[in-house]
Amino acid sequence: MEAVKVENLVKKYGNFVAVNGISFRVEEGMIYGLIGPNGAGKSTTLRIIATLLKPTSGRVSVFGYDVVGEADKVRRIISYLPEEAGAYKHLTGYEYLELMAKIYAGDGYREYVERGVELAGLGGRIYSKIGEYSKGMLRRLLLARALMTLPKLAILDEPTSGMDVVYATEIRRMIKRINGEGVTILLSSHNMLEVEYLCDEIGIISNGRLIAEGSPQELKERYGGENLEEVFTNLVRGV
Amino acid sequence: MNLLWELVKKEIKETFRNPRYIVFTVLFPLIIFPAIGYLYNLGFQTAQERIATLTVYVVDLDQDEVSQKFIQYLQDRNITVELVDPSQIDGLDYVVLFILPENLTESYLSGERGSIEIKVRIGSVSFSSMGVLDIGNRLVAGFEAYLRREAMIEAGLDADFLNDIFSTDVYVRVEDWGMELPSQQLASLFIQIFIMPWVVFGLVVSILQVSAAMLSEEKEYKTLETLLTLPIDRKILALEKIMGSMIVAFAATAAYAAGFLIYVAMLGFGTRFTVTGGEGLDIIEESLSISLRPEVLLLLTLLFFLTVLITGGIGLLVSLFTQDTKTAEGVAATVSMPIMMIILLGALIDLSLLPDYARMVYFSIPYVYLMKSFEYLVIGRYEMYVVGIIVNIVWLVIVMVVLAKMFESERILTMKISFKLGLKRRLLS
Repeated sequence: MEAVKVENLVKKYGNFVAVNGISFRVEEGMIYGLIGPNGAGKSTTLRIIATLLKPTSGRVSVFGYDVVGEADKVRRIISYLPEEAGAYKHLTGYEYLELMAKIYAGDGYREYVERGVELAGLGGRIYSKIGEYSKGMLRRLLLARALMTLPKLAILDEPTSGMDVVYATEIRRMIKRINGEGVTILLSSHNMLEVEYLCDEIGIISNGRLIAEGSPQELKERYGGENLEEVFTNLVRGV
Repeated sequence: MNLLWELVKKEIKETFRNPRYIVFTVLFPLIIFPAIGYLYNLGFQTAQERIATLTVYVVDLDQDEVSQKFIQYLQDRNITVELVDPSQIDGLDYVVLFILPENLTESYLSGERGSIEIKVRIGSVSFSSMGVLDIGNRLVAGFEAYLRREAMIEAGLDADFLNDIFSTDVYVRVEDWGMELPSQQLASLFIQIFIMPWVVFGLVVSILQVSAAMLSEEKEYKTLETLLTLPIDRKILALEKIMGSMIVAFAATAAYAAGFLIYVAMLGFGTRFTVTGGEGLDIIEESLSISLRPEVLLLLTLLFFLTVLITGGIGLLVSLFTQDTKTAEGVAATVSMPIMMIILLGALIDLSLLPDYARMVYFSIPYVYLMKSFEYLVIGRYEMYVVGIIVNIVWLVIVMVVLAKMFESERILTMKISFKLGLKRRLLS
């Protein structure tokens, strides 16, 4: 089944066209990566899929639900991690996970919290106030929040943004593990090696347009290059 | 409801664990009001003690009957009198000094007005020193009354009667209230009616600030995007924010009211102090009892609740246009100024003099009813509470509809106020 279907998506802010006729599909159970330079339209596309923004034209559906007309249904099955996300700094990590779990599960929230605590891997610091966390700890907590409910679709905008190698590696493992439990992942990243490691399929966006799509292997074969970084560079330069 | 309560609990934890809120919203009014009351009392007490232990210096150039009587008059009232020579004045550490001229007795006996020079020394200009300024005059006025009484008795007249020929009872009819009441009671009510706008204004400012900060903090700390993608009805989110700000505002109001009551108690509010001619301090107690029936209390509580809800809604609307807490609080402070003008208008002008349309406009403003609630309580016009509740419900519906629309649109993320360029939407992604 199609987890995400994006058709001729356009998003304008006044005269500025942020997304210009993008179409792609994400199959259920897949990890799909959107890559592209800054300002290419990746985050805007993810925000539309996450029901935060409305498209100027075009259609987006998540597991068959329209993101505009059926936003409430979409929100029940997705989980979104923004690139620059924060958390309530006067709550403890545990209280934060508990609150989010209650929103999704009501009385049966404990299972989510247990999974969240385990995914976050913060040990005893889970009971510290979030304001005392390092950037890496916060990002792990936020990712745990996004994944603990085992959503049908997790939308992760730059999940390892600004993190050191150790934290980034742990987060990539976490994403792989949760995907193994049946969660479809749609992510964006600047890190080509990360995308190559994680994603089954990749869409490359430049200037609001999808300029290439395929598996990492297909893209390397089609556009030439030892790795995705070379593919990306060749594509952006118009080779 | 359960979900709403969980979100409200989050707001309460976030707010009350923030030292900034605790200090400025709760501790500040609890400390500042009693502190002002203490300092005021300290100044007042100092002045009282100074008067009680006062040594009055007298330069007696008259040295005749009147000056002797004046000195005796002071001593009879336990005031220490020290006679000094004119040459000693410059180095003298006096508070009050009388210079009785040479011809004082002669003037009095010949029916001419004598002139007494009074010198007063104060350390600095303050509340406590202000109390000293008029002591000399009051002592002379008391002495004049004493001389008058003595003259009347010598002439065989009834001095007690002549000094107080008429007793007056002043009754004031307040057209707006349709009531007539003694002026002393009205004076007491005036003070309490004037205090109400300030209490309401304090409440409005604190709720505006808190509610504006609640949404702008979500933007500033990048939690709003996550919140908006959660499976929660946007109307619930709007209501959660209002309720959160309301609970915090209740705490702020309680602290404000408690601090204010302590202040009022320290000043002896409802008690009027008058100082008469050298006779000491007379205290006139003026108390007013108001019975608060359960149904009236219910109406008043509902009115209060609705006014608070509207204010929370306005604070949230304000914060929609801002991206950080400081800007939100600044805009909230700006918005509170016209609200303050509206609130104070009712206390400063005679509303009965306004044309009908202006009165209608004035009474369509939600804050008017809470501001005038004490007045309505005193005169028993409880139907005005019902009118106020209806007006507040209409406004609440308007605010909630606008707020829900805003929460449902993406403008909640993109709207921003710019003081240079006016209101505009900005691309944030």
